[in-house]
Amino acid sequence: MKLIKDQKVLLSKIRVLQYVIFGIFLVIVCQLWNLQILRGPEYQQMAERNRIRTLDVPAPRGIIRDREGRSLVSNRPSFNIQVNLENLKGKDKAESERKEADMLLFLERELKLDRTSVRERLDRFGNGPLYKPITIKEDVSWADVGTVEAHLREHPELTVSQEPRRIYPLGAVGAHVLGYVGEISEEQVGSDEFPSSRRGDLIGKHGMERVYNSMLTGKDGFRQVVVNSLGRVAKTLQRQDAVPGKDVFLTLDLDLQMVAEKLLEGRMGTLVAMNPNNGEILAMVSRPAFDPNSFISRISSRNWQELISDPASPFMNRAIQATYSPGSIFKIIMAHAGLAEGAIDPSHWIFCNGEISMYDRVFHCSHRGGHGYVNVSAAIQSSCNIYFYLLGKQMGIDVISRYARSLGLGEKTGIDLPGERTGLVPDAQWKKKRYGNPWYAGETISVAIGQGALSATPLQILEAISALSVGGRLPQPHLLLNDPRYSASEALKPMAASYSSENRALLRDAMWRVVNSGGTGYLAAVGGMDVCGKTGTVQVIGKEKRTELNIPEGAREDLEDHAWFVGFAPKNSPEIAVVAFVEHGGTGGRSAAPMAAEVFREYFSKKGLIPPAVDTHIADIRPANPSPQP
Amino acid sequence: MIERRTWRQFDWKLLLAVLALCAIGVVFVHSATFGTEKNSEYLYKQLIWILAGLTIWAMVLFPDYHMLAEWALVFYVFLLGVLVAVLIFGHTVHGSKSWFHFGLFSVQPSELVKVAAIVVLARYFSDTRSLDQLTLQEIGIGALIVATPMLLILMQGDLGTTLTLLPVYAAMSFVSGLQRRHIVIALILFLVLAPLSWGLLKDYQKDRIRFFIHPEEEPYGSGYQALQAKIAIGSGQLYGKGLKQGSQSQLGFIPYRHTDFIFAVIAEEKGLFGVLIVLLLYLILFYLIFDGIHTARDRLGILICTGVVALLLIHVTLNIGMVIGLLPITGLPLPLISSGGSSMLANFLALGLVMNIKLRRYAN
Repeated sequence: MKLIKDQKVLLSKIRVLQYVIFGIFLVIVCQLWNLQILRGPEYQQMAERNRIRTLDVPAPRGIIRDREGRSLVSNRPSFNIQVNLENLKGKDKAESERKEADMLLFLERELKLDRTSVRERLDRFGNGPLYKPITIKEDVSWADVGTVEAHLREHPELTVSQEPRRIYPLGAVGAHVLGYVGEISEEQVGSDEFPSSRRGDLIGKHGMERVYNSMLTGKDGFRQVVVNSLGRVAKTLQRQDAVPGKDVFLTLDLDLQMVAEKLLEGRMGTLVAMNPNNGEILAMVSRPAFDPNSFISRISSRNWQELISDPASPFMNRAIQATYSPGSIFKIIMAHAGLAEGAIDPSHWIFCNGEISMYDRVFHCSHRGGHGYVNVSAAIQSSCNIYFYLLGKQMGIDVISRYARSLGLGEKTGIDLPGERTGLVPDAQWKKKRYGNPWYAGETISVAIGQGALSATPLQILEAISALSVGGRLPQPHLLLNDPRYSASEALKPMAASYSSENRALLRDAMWRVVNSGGTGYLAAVGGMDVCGKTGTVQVIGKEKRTELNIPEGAREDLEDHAWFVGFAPKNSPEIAVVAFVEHGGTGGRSAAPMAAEVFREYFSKKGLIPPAVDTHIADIRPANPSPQP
Repeated sequence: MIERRTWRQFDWKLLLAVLALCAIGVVFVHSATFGTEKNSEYLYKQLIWILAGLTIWAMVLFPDYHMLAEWALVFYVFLLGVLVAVLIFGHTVHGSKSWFHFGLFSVQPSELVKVAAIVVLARYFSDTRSLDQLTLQEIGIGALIVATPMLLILMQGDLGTTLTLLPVYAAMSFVSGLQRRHIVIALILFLVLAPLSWGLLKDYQKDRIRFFIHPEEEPYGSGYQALQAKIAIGSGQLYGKGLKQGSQSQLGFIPYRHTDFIFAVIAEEKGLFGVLIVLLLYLILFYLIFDGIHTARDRLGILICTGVVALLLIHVTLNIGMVIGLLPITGLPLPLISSGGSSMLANFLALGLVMNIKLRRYAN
């Protein structure tokens, strides 16, 4: 029985252990009761306030560079002020409204933010997810950042966020090509052009920024954070770094671009330089221009309104969005058509006495006294109208329009820029459709010298003359460097009409004479380089009308003629083609040709083929021996 | 082999209680890992551990526990050797170097050594000279049996597991019989040594205790974890938010939610009702082990069962106490429920011993 007694002793002690267990479980149950029943609703609220938020880490856009890698558009850090709607929510409607009123007052007083514009933004984005902050002021100063940080306690709804911001370090240089960024519009969200976009995103609005938006746009990263009841980040749980956008290399040559920009300073017009062999745009300037830096904000500024209502249309890229009568430049295309059709040859001479009567109307030549005997070369060189009146009459509008179209006129060049215009190549069919009238033969005479309904963008003219300069094929103008889409074989669009090397030599020679042998474009001449080209002058107001209104030449700038020059160099193996167009610039020979000369000079001196330019202003170059202008 | 007479003593209620707790574990490990990549992996692993546990449990039933007690010394010494090996070659998980990796699974030998220590200690205390009072020498040798693995586990940096052996030793020596003056001396020693041991703690362990006392000092560290667990439990209220619906659990506010903090998940998703059922099952389990103590045929059986009760109780107490914010964070699993293999195997081993003792309540 010793064993039984022994066990009884042990078991009495076991009872103590049982009391301990009972006590422990009692304490546990009490605490559970306390947490889950007594304080349950309180913890319920705390659980609801607990949030894991996903914050965007914006990816910087790619850098836009010129063909040598120099940056044309880049990024800089900036700060935005944002509102977290979650922190504006009160217990009831009245409290929420009071909180919002407090905030608006604070923003008005301390940050000088207009009440209605803030309200507008809150309304616009208010139906998004509550946790997503709304940007109400962009690119704020350090002082503003300090103000917001200092009032963190009173205004937990306001936070400062960092964002890489676009900067256009060269200001207005190349603005029309580069474009600018802006906040995505309601219609653009999720559109085919911007498939994965969201409201509030910054996207390319124009130019390269827009066309290559998807390349430039990186992949935003995110940060998953725990936020406390004030909405402050308490802890980062997970993060994915942003992937920056790809850099975009353009065909532009910044050196050439800068020269072109300087040439057009204070003028209205455009200057484009292109490699005629492959369509690479080396420089493209349009004036007046705008500074993209001044309105890249999400919030539209007053500056923007001024710019879009400016009658000089600074946003218009005159190289592709403005169409003009080609004027005498068209004579090159006429000559090409005549030669290809066999309507003329170099032995075909006519006599120009300064005027000609056709279809019961007198048509004048550019030179009142007449040019005497001219063949096709001489007619181009001296820009004789009579020769081309006769050629036009001989070929008729349908042949002319066919050749014009075969050189790309009347259709978009397809350059990688948005908003390009087509221009117009008129013919009988077009007239019938448009006006319901038959084509009058007299209209052909105007078209033959590049007037009348005929119109083209400067880039179309450049493309056409480039095609004739190298022969055979139309280059595809483009701005993206090394893009397989523009690789040599596909870059050249076939030219519809036949173009023999004899005819090419003839046109090259004639255009060389225009510049180098007493022709209208002598101011385009560059010492040591065989520059070829053609001038054009487009009347804004006819001579008869001018006399009738009693406006002497030069009295009203806005009625001055438009000036054209298009050319290429060197003569036998063209590397660069340039078009210059100056609105109300006067004659092409006097104002447009010298600009082209400077561009050629820069191009070839950079290559070391000719000495660099002496820094003389264009205006200083005076014609030594004024000669007839078309 | 086991005679039919012995089989008749098989306690189905004990097995059912154990399986019920395991089932709750499976459900909530699944819920706690829901939406994570390894969701199904956790589920299958848990089921495999339970099956492995049951196998060990069944194997332990066959030999008489007296024979097991003889073997236990060898097992105990072997495990001490393994602990030394772990110190040299083991892997570090959450600051503790206490893991051995075997392919997909990793094992913590420190969990098993606790069971071995219980049996060795029971074996030693069952054979003392006096029947109701341990001599000082016996107390000392008993302490050595427990302190050796404790020291090795402490060297691994696993304070929680180390501390679990202390109450096991206390309970077993108390039941074996202690003189009142020895108890008083032990209490005084404990009160003096506890503050001194502060210096031995690692920084993160000190933090846990400090922030337990002053949670407002660091709201986003371990104090943050404790607060989030409390929010989870409290917001579960009476009925809970429903399985997989706990925002605190599912949004990742609760750390180690499928292991150490699984009780918070149960409390959030099934409310007070859910956790009361868990507590009730533990009480039933303890009751059935006490039943084994009362019917055990000898001192050895009584002491082994006592050790097992103490071991389970200290785990349940420290784990739930930590989760509900009454005790500092120690990182101990909830027996039979938390995801994890080593503790599952150790618990099944211990419960197999209890069943073995129950089966052999009558001497052959």
